[in-house]
Amino acid sequence: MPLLNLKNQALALISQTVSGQELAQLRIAFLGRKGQLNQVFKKLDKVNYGRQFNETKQAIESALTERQTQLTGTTAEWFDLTAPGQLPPLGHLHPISQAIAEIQRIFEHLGFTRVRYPEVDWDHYVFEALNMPADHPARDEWETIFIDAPAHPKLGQMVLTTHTSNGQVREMERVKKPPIRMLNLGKCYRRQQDPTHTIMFHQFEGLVVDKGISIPHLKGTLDYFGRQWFGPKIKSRIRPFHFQFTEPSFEVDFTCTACNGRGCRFCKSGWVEVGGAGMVHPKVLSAGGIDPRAYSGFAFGWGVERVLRLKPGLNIDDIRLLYSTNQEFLNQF
Amino acid sequence: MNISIPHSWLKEFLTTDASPQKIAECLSFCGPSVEKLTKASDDWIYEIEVTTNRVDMMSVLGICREAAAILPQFGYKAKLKTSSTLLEVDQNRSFPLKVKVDHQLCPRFTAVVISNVTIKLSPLKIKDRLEKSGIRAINNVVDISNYLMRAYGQPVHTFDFDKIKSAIILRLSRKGESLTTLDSKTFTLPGGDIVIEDAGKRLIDLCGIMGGLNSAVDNQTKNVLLFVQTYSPTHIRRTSMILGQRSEAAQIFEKQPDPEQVRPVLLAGIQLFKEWAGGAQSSKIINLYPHPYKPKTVSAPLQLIKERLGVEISQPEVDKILKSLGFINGQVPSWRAKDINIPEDIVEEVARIYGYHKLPSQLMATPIPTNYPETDFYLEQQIKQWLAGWGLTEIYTNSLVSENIPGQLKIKNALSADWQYLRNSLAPSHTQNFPAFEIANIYLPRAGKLPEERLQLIISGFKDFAKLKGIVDALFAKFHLPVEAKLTTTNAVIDLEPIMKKAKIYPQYQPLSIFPPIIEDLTFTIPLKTFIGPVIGAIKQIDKIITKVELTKTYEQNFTFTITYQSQTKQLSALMIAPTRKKIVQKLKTKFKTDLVGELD
Repeated sequence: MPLLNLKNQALALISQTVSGQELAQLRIAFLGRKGQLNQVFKKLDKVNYGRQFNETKQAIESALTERQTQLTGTTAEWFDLTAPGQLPPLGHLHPISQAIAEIQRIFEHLGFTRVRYPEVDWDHYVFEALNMPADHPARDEWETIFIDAPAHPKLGQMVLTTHTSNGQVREMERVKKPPIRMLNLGKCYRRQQDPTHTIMFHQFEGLVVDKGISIPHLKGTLDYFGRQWFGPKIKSRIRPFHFQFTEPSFEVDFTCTACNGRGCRFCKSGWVEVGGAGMVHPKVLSAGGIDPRAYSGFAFGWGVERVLRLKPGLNIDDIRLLYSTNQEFLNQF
Repeated sequence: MNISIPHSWLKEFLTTDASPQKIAECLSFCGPSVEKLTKASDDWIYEIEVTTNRVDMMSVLGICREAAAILPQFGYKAKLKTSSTLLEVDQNRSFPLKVKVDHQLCPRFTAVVISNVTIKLSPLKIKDRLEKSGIRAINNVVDISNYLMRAYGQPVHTFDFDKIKSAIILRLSRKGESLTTLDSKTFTLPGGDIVIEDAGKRLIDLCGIMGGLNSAVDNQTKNVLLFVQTYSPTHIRRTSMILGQRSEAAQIFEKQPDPEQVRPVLLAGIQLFKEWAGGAQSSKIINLYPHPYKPKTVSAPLQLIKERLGVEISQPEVDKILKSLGFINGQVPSWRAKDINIPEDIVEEVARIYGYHKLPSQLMATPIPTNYPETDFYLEQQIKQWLAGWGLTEIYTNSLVSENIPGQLKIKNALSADWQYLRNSLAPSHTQNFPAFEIANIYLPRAGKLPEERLQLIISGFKDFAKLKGIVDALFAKFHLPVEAKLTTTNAVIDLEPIMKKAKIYPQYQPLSIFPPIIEDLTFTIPLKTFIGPVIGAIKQIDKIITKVELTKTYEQNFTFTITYQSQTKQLSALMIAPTRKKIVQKLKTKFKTDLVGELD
C-alpha cells in the first residue's frame, strides 16, 4: 500500500507540472538516491515488495518521460529524428497474388465461394459441356494447348484449360443443387505470347445459379466489382456478344478510370473492355445436372492480368514482365 | 471476324436520319460491335466485329437489317430498302453442261451461264466501295463475286465457261488428288474435300474455299459460269483447317449462310453482269434444292422474358421488337434459322433491342451457399504474406518448361521449345540469384487419369544456408509443426497441401509459468563434421525442464548454446538444475565426443 500511494501521488504531481524544470525537481524528489521511493522501500520487506518496487519506479519514470515529451515536444536529450531508419527486410508480394487476394475479398462480400479446379483438364469440361462440340468454329477463339496423352473414352482429349469456365460444370457437379455462387480463380493457358498475352495467365470466373437469376443481377454484381476494384464512381455496361456457353452473352465494359468516362486517348469512347459474361446456357446447366426449367444463372470470366493492367495508376504496358524474374519490376510492388 | 463497310454502301440498303457516329454507337449497344469508325474523304468506314453465330451479319445487308431494328429504339428513322428492279428470268433455254451433285455436300446448287462479257475495270464507285471494304478491285468479273459476297454475305464463284469440259460433277475428293487454286498454290488433298470435276477428269474447283486455276476467269474470258451454292459446313471447315486456307468464303460457308438467299444473289449477279460487263444470261438457271428451307417457329413465354430482363414488358412490345428483326408470328426469318433455336435465344433478341443499358442493376437476394470446398485459400495467402514480410520476393514462373525431366507430361503442340513440358518440380524454374518464393502446382502424371496437381512451395535463391533454414524454421514455427521440407544448400521445397491441413493456426495455449526461468550459456568444443541438429535435439531430450535450446554463438569448433530451464510447478534454483546440467555434459560427451569449455561446479 505505501508504494501504491506513493505512485499515485507522484503521477498526480507529474501530470500537473508546467515546465521541464518542475519535472526535474520531481524526478529528484521521487527517484533520487535519497528520494521518497527509496525512503519508503527502506522500511519494507525487500523479498515481498521487490516486484512492486520495480513497477512503481518504472511507472514514475515513464510518466516523467511522457510529460517531458508533452511539454517540449522532444525528449529531454538532443535527438536526431531525421537520421535514416534501419529497414526491416523488404519483401515483395507479387502483383498477381495481390490482385487475387483483392478479387477474392470483393466477391466474398457477395457470398461467393472460392474454388480451384484442374489446370490440366478433359476436353469435356473445357469445351464439350460448355456447348462447344468438337470442330465447332467457336473453338477457334481459344488457342488450345494439347497434352500428349491418351484421350479419355468419354471425356475426350487432355488439354491445358484455356479458361476458368471449366469450373462451371465441375462446380455444378460438386454442389449438386443450387444455390451456387462460385469464384474459380486459377491458371489458364493459350498458345499466344505478346505484350498483352502470355502463354500462362490467370482468370477468375464467377458463376451464380439459383431460382430467378436475371440480367439485372449480373449487372448489379458487375457494378459492385467495378466500384470496389476501380473506384467508387465506376459504372459497368454490357453489350451484345456471343459465347456458346451463355445465352444471352455480353461483353463487359467499365468506365475508363483515366478520364472518368469522358473519353480520352487511352480509351477513345470513355469505356474500357474487360471481358465476357452471360446468362448460363440451358445446355450447360443440363450438363451440370441442373434443371434449366427450374434454375437460371449468370457467369463471367476475365483475365486477372487484364484487370490488373487497368488498375488506376498501375499501367503495366507489357504483362510478360509479370512472369519474368526481373527484380527491377518486382521490387516496385 | 471483322468486316469493314463504307457508309455510302450502307445507304444503298438503308434510309435513315442517324449520323454515322450515332449508327456506330447504337449498333454497338444493341447489335454488332462497331470497333472503329474512320473518316475516308467524304465517306465513313465502319469496322465491325461479327460474332461466329451471326454469319448473316457478314454483309452490308445484314448490318442494315440490324440497324433498321435498332435505330428506331433510339428515336431515329430507319428503313430497309427493298430491291426495286425485278429481273426477268428466261427459263426457256437449256443448260449446256451435264450436272451431277451430291446434295449431302451441297444442299443448294445454282448456276447460270453469262455470255459475251467484256473484261474491264469496274465502275469507279464500285472500286471505291470495295477498296473501302478492304477488298482489292481487280476486274469487273472478279469484282462482281466479291461485291455480291460483301453485299449479301453469300460467297459466289465465277468460272471461265469455255475452260470447263462439258460436265460438272460435285463430289468428295479422294486422298492424294491434287489441285492448283486461283492463287497458283498446288494442294495435295487430304481426301473428303468437296471438289468439282469436269468431263476431262480434272478438278476445277476446291468448293467453298477457292476456285481452280485451270478454270479461272482471265483477260480473254468471254463466257462465264456464275455459281452460287451452299455447302456442308463441316466439310468446308475441315478442308479449310487442314489446308490452312481460311478464305472469307470458307469462313462464311462453315457457318451455314441462309440457303434462301442463294437464288436472289444469283439474280443480282446476272443483273451486275449486264450492267458492268455487258454480259447476258445465255442458259436457264439451274436451281437444285431438293430439301428447301422450312420455316421454323421458336418462341419464349412472356413470363420468361420478364424474369430474365427483370422489367415489366408487354407482349405487344415484345412482338414489335421481334417483328423489327424479321420474326413473323414466332416464325424465325430464314437468315436467323441457324442461330435461333431455344426460348433463351428469343430472350436475347428482345433484351438487346430493348436495350441492356435500360435494364436495372441489382444484387441477388437468394440464399448464400455454405457448401465450401476444403482448400484453405486464407492460409495460402498468409504464407505468402509471411514470406514477403521476412524479406523474400514472390515470383511467378511458367508451368511450362523446356527441360525433359522423366515423369513430366509433354505438350503435343508446343508454341516454342521453351514450353514443351509441364513441370513436376518448381526447383528447375528457380534459377534467379535473389531470395524468392513461389507457390504453384506441379503436375504428376497418372495413367488414364488427369495428372495430380500438387501445390508446392519453394523458397530459393539463398547464398547463405543459415538464412534459408531460418526462413523454413520460422515458417514451421508459425504452423506450430516440426519442419517438413526438402532442403538443398540453396532452396527448400515443401509439399504444401498436407502441411496446410495439419498446420495449427491456433496452437494449444500453455498457461503462463508463474516461476521465472533460469537461462544459461554452455559452450562445447565439438569435433569437426558433427551434425549440429542432432546435438541440439539430444540436449532437448534430457529433461522436460529444458524448454528451449538455442545455438547463439560459434567460434571455430566452439559452440555456445543458450539453454532455458523452466518449471510449471516450482521455482528452479541453480542448485536444482545442477544435475540436469551434468547430464547434458555427460550425454554430449558420450554421444558426440564433445568437451565442455570451462568446469562444472
